[in-house]
Order: sequence, then C-alpha cells, then structure tokens
Amino acid sequence: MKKLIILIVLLMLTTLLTLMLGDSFIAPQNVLSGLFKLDDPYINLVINTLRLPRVLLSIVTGAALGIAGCVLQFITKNPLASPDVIGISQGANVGSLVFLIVLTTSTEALLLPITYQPVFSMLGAVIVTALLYFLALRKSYKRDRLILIGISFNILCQAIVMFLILTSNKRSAQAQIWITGSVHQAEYHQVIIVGSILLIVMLILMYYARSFDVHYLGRNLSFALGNPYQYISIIALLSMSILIGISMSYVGGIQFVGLIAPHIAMKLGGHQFRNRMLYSAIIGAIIILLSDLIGRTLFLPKEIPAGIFTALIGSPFFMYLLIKSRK
Amino acid sequence: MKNKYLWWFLLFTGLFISLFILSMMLGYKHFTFLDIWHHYINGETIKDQRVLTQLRLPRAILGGVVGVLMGISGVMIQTITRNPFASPSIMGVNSGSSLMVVIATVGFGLNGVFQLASMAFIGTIIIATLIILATTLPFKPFNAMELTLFGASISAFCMAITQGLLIYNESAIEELIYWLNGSVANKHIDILMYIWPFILGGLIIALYMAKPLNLYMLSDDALKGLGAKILTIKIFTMIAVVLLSGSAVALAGPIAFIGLITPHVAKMICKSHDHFIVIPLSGILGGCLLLLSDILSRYLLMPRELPVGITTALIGTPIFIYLILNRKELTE
Repeated sequence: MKKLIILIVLLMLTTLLTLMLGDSFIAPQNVLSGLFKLDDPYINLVINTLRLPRVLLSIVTGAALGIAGCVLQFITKNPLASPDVIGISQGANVGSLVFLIVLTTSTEALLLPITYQPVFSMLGAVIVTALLYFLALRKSYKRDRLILIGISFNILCQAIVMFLILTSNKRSAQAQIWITGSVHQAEYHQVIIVGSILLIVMLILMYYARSFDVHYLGRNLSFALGNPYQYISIIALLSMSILIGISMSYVGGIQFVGLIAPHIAMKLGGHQFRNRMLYSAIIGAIIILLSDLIGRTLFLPKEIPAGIFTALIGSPFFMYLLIKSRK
Repeated sequence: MKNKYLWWFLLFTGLFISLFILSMMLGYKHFTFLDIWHHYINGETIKDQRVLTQLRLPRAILGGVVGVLMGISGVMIQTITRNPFASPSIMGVNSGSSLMVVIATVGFGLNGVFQLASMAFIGTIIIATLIILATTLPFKPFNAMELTLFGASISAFCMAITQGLLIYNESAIEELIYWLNGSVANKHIDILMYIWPFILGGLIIALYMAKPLNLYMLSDDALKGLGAKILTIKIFTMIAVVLLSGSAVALAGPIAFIGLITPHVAKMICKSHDHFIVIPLSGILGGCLLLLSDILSRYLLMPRELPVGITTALIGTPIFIYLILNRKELTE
C-alpha cells in the first residue's frame, strides 16, 4: 500500500512537471490555478486546451499499455513477452488502417464515422491475439513457439501496414508519425473513451485477480483448485487486446511500454496480480508522460513522437533483460 | 555428387530460368516469349524494346542475383548460429542498413545510388559484427528464441532512430519509402558493376566453407576434439554472410524472409544437410522465390507496384509459421 501511494505521488509530480514545461514555461502555482480558475486566458489556453488533453491521454494510454503488458506476462509466465513484440499492437494498427484506407470512398469520405476507428483497431488486436491463441497457446503452451510465431506476425502486420499506406497514395508522412506513436493529437473525447474502457477492464481484472494468481500456478494446479484455466486465459487475452486496440487507435505504435512497466512493477514487489497490475498502470503512465515531454521539448521547434523515445529506452532495456535472464 | 541431387539442381535451375524469362515478360506491359526471342536472339527491333532492355532485364537480373545471395547467406547464418530461425533480416541487419541509409540522406544529404549502397553495406557490417559478438563472446550462445528476440530489439532500436530522422525531415519519407521496403524495380544495375567483387568473394568463401560448416554441425566439444578452429570457421562464415547479405541489401534494400525460408525448403527437398548441396540449392531457390515475389508485386496493386519486400513478407510469414509449428523442439 505504501509503495502504491509513493507511485501515485510520483505520477502526480510527473503530471505537474509535464504541464509546466513545453514551448513556454508555466510556473507550478499558475498550473494549479490554471486548472481550476480560468481567469488568465493565456494560461488557460496552454494548460487546458493544449497540454492537459495530451497529458491525460498519455496517462490513460500509458496505464492501458502497462496493464496489457502485465496481463500478457502473467498469462504466458514470460517476462520477455510484450504485446508489441508479438504483433498484437501491429495488428491493432492494421485494423485502424483498414478502417482509414480501405473503408473510404473514392472521394476520400469515410464510409463510417471516425468514432468507429477504435472498434476496428480493437478488432485487429483481437484477431491477432486469437490467432496466437489457437496456434501457440491453447493446446500445449511452448514459450519459444509463441514468441517466434508472434515475431513473424509482427513482420507480417508491418508489411500489411506498409501495403495499406502505399495503396493510399498520400499522407504517408502523417501515417509514418502515427505508426511511430504519438500523443500530439490528443482530444478530450479520446481521453474519455480510453479512460472509461480502461476503467471497465480494470474492474473486470480486479474481479478475477485471485483467479489470475491461481492461474499462474499452472494448468494442473489450477484444475485441482477448481480454477477454469482456459476461461481465465481467454478473459486475460481479451482484456489485453482490447486495451492494446483502444490505445493504439489514438496514439499509434508506442512500443515497449508494455514490456518495461510490468518489469519495474515486479521489481517493486508486485508479485500478486492485483499489485503488479496497479504498479504497471502507474509506471506505464509515467513512461509515456516523460517520453512525450522529451519529444516536445528537447528538439524545439520540431516535435519528435513519444514512441521513438520509448523504443530508444525500451530496446536496450530489453536486450539487458534478455542477457540477464540467461544467468 | 549423386545423380539424385543433379536432377534437383537441373529442375530448379530450369525453374529459375523460366521465372527469369517470365519476369521479363509480365507486368503492366506484356511481352510474349516470341518478342523476347526475336529481340535477343535474332536482334530484331520490337515494339517498346526500351521497356524490355532498360527496365525488365535489369530488374530480372537484380531479382535473381539478390535472391541467390539471400538464400546462401541464410543457410550460412543458420548453420553458424546453430539456429534454424536465424536470418540476416530477422536479426536486424536490414534495419541497420536502413538506418545508415536514412542517416546518410537526412543527415548528410547524400542521395547518389552508390553512396546509399555503400552506406547500406556499412550498416550490414555493423549489425553483423554485433551479432558475431552476441553469439561468440564469453557468454553461452543464444538459443533460437533469444537470438530472434535480440534481433527484434536491435531492429526496434534502429527503426526508432530511422523513424525519428524521417519525421525530422519529412521530405525524405517520400523519397525513401520504396528503398526502405526493399525493391528491385528502378534500381541502377550499375551498382552490380561496382560490387561484383564483393559478391564473387562472398560466393567463393561460401563454397570454401561448405566442408567446415558440415563439421560445424557437430557440437563444440566434438569440433575441439577434431582440432577444428571454431573461431576461424565463425569469422570466415560471417565474412561471407556480410559480403553476401550486404551486397543484397545494397542492391535491393531490406527484403525479409527469403534467407529465412529457403534453407528449410532446400533441406526438405533434397533431404540432406550436406552444405555442398544445401548452399547452392538454397541460392537457386532464393532466386526463384524473389523472382516470383517480384512478379507478384507488379500485380497486387496494379497499375502501381508494391515494394517486393512487402510481398516476400506476405508470402513468407505463413511458410515461416508452418515451419515453426512443425519443429519438434517447439511442439510437444
């Protein structure tokens, strides 16, 4: 409980910091007054219109990605599993692009309102997850097989993404930014959608937290304790792909958060599912907040998408884990 | 060489030649076999012969050559890392060379074909060296999954920088997007004139290494017992891999899956692990596969073309998954 409070305080401090810094500096006391009072129009614009939606979207997607990674690592008992390494995030991207590119008329109008994009993104993630489940998890789970098939799915989905971008003929620069993953187009309604789905999934996961802990003991012990193994796996994978799908649809391909956050969470003593999930959520949020902060301040006046920094930090970290895990 | 193998070679060489000719015939503009015959054998003037000589022929040659190089480097890297799922592209070599090309373009404003090709070559060397270090030095060798993950994270790292640079300089994206996805279309055949010594060197080393590589399939202890110089074998093999896959990337950009799949198919067909047979056969099969993918990539988005790297990924993934599902050590 103490650690959780420390993490929450850390998250609040990071949030304050990201609201302060940017194109222009805003003093902390002004940030707070800007949030609640709207008397200074300039501060109101910078804080409430420009920075706050971005910061909030970073928090909810970071939490969603952290939880998704945590669930996947728990269910596969593999500390190296990450939704973006095994192709689930790319699957979500394929879903989004199918919606944006295939479902447009010749006059560039969308056939469905843009609000349906997350549905397709989630569908993409669910389809890849289902394929992985049937090919590598359902009958006999082999860690190596899951990872190898996942990596090839990742390559396949990347190829499909490029295929779709090339068919669309235009906006490839925009698509490139979106694929890399950025929160720069954040809007309040996105925060509300991701936030509410996150909340629902979190409640479901909390409800099953005990079953997850039993699930971790393995198939045989689960059965002996009356825990429906297959059912729990499916709940977990479904929750994970929904979280990945919804966050990918707004921020694109931010990588490695789902890998790093659960790891740090475990280091902090989150071995029980409930703790590990909450820690992962907060750490994921902090990671994206900081990556976005670096991306929009370090290279002014250019903005670099947050996804680049998560990958730049994430992949060496991953190599380190890989080498360390072999003892 | 046994007769059986000779027949396989003849069969696949025949397939290679037919695909080569098909590659010249098919596309947005069709030529008949007779057109090609008249043009090249009788020296007659035919309609649209510029398309044939300046676009189709270089493209077919590049496709064939690049495929052969990839097939051969695939076998060698799989044997030397004792890893059936290794390939230059999976291990991040492609993304390393893409990164170098983007650095050259965005950072230093280079855009000549030779400059980009050399940068791609340098990128290959850097990543291949990293892989040698990761598989040779003090700690015990990576297993299949670990090596693949290691490669995947190298790839992610290089891709992140690549994408950062591309976003920093948006105008470069349109220019490079075809290069970054691997293509044998509209490439300058001159590059081949420039790097053929590397290719030849790589091929000679590859054939010379066939015997040591046959030995290498034994365990390290057995090799030491036989007095084989393990490090020398590794270094020479990796030099060949660098020369061959570096040339391939310099010629065509990053193309995945050819080097990964062909060795498995070759071994499955000839039911042999003898490198004197597997190396050339994988080469021919790689050429066939790339020529075929390139022909397909002209039709998938007609009238526009797809970079062939995308087509090979679309064809390669199902085959790769099939191979994984049929490996004994990965199923129970």
